[in-house]
Amino acid sequence: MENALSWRTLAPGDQLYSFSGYITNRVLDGIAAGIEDVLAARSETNKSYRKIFGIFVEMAQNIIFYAPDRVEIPNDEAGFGTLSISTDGDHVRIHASNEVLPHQKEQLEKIFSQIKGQSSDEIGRLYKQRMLETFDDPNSRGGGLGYFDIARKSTRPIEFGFELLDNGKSVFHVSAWV
Amino acid sequence: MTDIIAAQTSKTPEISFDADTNTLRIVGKSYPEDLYAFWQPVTDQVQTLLNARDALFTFEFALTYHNSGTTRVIINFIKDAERILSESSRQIRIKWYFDPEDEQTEEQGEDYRDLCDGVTFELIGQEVS
Repeated sequence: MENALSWRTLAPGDQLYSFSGYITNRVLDGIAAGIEDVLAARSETNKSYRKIFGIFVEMAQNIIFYAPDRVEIPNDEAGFGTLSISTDGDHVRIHASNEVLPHQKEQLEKIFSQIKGQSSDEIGRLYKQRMLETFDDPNSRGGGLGYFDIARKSTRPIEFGFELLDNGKSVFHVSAWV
Repeated sequence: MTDIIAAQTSKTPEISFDADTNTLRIVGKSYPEDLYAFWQPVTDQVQTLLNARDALFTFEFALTYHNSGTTRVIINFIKDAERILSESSRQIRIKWYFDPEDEQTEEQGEDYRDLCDGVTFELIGQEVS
């Protein structure tokens, strides 16, 4: 059945959480608080809940702020995407999927080409370098610092990929493990 | 006397200023919906406070989580502090509190400490409520 699941449906595996749909700041507000409490209370996640929470929030905000499938709503933002937290052996996997426009795909490929295959020490160094670029350039919005942060927090190499859609957009998938 | 600059919410920290000790405290989580809408007024007010007196100015951060957007804000605080130090004889220090079990916040504190040149940056491991 796994192969029959599309990115819009809930991810397979031992789910702790999964969410698919238009994610808003208000949605994040509710689920983040609940997730933090549950992860902090469960024995398999209570030592690592802060990192899981941190990765989840970065991924969720990327969808809310940047996912191109959007609904204009008053006093909030809504971007379409999928988020899940699942157990994977000894690890907890945090996964996000959302559509991206061609220029967003290009930016992401640039970021991930730097991260891919690097040791955790090297990723830590890249994160700090990106932080310094932010420090030196007043106009920088720190492009991609969030993904370097996710990669640094992940205890296994992060995985990412793109699926090209007929409409020229792609679906972007990213997973991190703690 | 302590002034509350911003009250705590689920996504934003409490920010207060103690005029007696010239200390700005930032406590809680920071992953605001609109980074600049939340932080810009705070940053402006901090500028005013930093320039108001010659006394030692202390930043106290006790964040349990902050996102990568907030990292940019913290870097700007450090950058401003470094600039003021280079232009005057004023003293500025930053205290970074972290829960000893919170590796993530400790590591982030170490990164910020490495950015500091003239500013004194102390990492303090203690239970953060």
